[in-house]
Amino acid sequence: MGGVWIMYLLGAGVRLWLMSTSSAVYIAKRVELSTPLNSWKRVQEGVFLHSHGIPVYSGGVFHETPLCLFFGGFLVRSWQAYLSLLFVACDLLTAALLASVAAAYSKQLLLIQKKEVGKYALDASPLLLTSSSLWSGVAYVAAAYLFCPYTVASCVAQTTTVFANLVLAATFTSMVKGYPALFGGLVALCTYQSFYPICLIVPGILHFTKGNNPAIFVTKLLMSFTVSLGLLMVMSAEIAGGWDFLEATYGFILAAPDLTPNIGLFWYFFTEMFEHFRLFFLATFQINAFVYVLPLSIRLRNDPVLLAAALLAFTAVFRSYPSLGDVGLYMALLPMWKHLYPFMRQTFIVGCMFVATSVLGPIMYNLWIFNGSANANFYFAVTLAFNTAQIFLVTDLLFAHVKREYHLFHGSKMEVNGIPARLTLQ
Amino acid sequence: MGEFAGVLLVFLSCLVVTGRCRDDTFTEELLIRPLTSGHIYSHFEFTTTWTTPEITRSIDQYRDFEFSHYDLFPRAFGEIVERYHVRELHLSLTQGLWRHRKWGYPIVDAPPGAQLWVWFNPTSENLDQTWRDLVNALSGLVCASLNFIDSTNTVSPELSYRPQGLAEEWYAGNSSYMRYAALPRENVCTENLTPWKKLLPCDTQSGLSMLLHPVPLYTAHYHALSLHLRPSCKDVSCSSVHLELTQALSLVQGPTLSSSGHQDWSLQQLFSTQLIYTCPLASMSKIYVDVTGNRDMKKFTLDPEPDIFDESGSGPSLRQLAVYDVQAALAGDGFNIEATYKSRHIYGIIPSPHLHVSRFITGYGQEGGSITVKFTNSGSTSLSVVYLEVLPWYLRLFLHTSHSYSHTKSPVYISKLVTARDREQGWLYEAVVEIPASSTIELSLDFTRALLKWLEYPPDANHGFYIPAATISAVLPTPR
Repeated sequence: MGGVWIMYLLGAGVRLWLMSTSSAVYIAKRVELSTPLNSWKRVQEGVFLHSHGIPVYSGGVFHETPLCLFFGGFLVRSWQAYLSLLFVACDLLTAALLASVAAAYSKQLLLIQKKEVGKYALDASPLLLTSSSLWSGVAYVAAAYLFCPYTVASCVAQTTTVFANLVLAATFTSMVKGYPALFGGLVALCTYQSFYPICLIVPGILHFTKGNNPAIFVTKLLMSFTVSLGLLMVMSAEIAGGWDFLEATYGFILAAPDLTPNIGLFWYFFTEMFEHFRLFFLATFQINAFVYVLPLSIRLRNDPVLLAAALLAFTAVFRSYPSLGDVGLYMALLPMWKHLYPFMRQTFIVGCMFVATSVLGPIMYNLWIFNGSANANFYFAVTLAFNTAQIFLVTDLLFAHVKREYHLFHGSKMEVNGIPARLTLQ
Repeated sequence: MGEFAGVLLVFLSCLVVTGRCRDDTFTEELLIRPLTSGHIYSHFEFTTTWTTPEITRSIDQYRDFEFSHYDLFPRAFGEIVERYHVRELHLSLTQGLWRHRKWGYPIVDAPPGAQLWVWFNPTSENLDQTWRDLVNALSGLVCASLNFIDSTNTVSPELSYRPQGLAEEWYAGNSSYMRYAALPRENVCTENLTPWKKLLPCDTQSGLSMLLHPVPLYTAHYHALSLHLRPSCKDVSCSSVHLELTQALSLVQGPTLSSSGHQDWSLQQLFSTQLIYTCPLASMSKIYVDVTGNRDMKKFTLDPEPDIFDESGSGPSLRQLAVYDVQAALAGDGFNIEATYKSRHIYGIIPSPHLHVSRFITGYGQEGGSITVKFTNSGSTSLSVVYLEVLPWYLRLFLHTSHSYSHTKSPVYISKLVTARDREQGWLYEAVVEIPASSTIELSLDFTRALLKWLEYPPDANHGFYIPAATISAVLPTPR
């Protein structure tokens, strides 16, 4: 128990120490962490414009939601001195929420295992989950979120992804612990903030249909979602004084007009595109971000939490303005599936790719922007390799899940009618 | 015979009637001012004024001009003015930077590149479309690429660029009638000088425009061509109004040293030609040489002797001009003014003008930087100046760093701020800055650069991007 407290203190300490050094300003400017959507500098600029009566959403600087404008104004004006503490506290709370998600999920896995142990193959006993291994997974989840360099950097850079991650973690908690109305409201808040988490509704529905009163839970979920979203929109229109904010927030996320480099795929393509085809490619890219929901939810309908984590990962890769904070969130959830690690085959390659691209990325960016000796291709190539590494990680995880299921039900020999067979992911 | 007499009578009466109705005058003036830094500042002004009852009516009622019977006023320009609801127009094409710190204040100030600002008549038509059409027509008139002016570099400032001609308060305070745009990358060359000279009544055949040879003009340190149209009063009492077209050419040429190191100059040396013919259409043709500080011809002597000496102002704003009447002086031979200096020029400390400003970019790399402006007030009274900054959309300004609540050492009041929209609208930043006496104020605007699409880079992208000059409007306590 003491170890847990020390872990949280260390996490807070690392963040606060980094925020107090001179590198905090440098970290805040990194494009991998601050995008036009989550940069705190833009929130401050929006608050400044708002306080001077200049329309905030008619320009191209501020793209956060009106609620963020409202709370940001309050924070900038009254809590300027405690801002770093607030960001650190949100990160600690996120870590705690993720740990509770891991704990509840582990309990569910054990329950499911107890129910189905009769259907397992005879030689599947080494594959069975034990509570001790699962409990260590809970600590690892919190540690992963507290000490992952991506989340630490995202917190030190004071990006609003910290708050988005908090809401996402709360969404996961409400889903795993079985509160449909709360889940609906939180998904509405997530969607309101960054639009892409709307795909989390599908794993939510799948999760609540497996419960006791599927119809009532699902209705509660959907009603809560629509009512919350409606309320949020109306409140935003009140704060922003009209509906112009829609074009500046969701219009901006979907149309991606700002081509600032980031770790995503949009900026490079749209810099070099013919104007004639812009709308076509835009539609293609945005559909690509959502197209994985349907097949994944059909395949993973029995494990909605894994589905939700996989969707988070795909969103982090394919959204219009990703940042390392999004990456850090789903990576922190991975220790929940510690039991799948023996089945993952590409961990070394993926690990090396992550390390190499995380180091090379900022170097290439500096060479391009400050030295003038490289160009955009160098940086984009490294970013592309980083995204490939993420895709490999997720597909490896899903493949491992499929393999483990097969081995649980069919034994460790891979034979179909006596002929040696091979497992493929389809 | 009777019909012939009748026709003659009608013809003569027409002449008499139209002779009384038309009243346009043309004057030419040239000011030569030797600057303290050793340069020579020459300023040509060709002024055409025009009064008709229709013009007076249009000026008083803020209606479009209707010109007829063009005589001295250039028709090509008049048609553009008529068609595009123009009331006041100021166009300048400049090459070089005017160094206020060393050269003082010019008579007509212009930024490097092209600058156009127009006050339109109140009309029901869409002024943005009218502005686009006007810009294209002017670009054809002066052979400059003014057609690059569009919504991304056009602004309507709130306090700067008020009408210089007649305007009532309801009109002068409404910036929606006005458009301002600047193209800093525009080059000026002979191609622009030729159509500009063609607008003059005497063209290049006679008068002061004979001095406008391209080679000395375009090897100068500073060269500005401008066109100013405004409605103004005919006399001090303003009992009648007229339309005034001023074509000005400002020139700063480097000192040419003689063999003894004296900074002697002459019209022949400055413009590589002499005045031979006088313009018969000009009602006044004068050359002024600024002899302030040259009391009793102690520093340099002028040959031929000036006709009269004109003195105005007192104290620090004292000005003495030696006036030559060109029309009286030209008697068939060439007319040349020569200045002979008594001793070598001393490159000493130049007293700075009352207000001078320095503006530069700080930061490195292509990520961003900051535009820093340093205002220096060397006078004994505090000054309020209006600072106007027009920036392209791809420089994203972040104002909260320099205008935060804790930055109240010298308050900057933002009078107008138009935030940019990507690819649609540029930045307009206009602020009132209070500068205490004998002090320097620094204002910095942080920006980050946006990544442009491959089609949006200018030709020769590695050359960089030009940012339009900032404008400072102030009322100085002394004229000098």
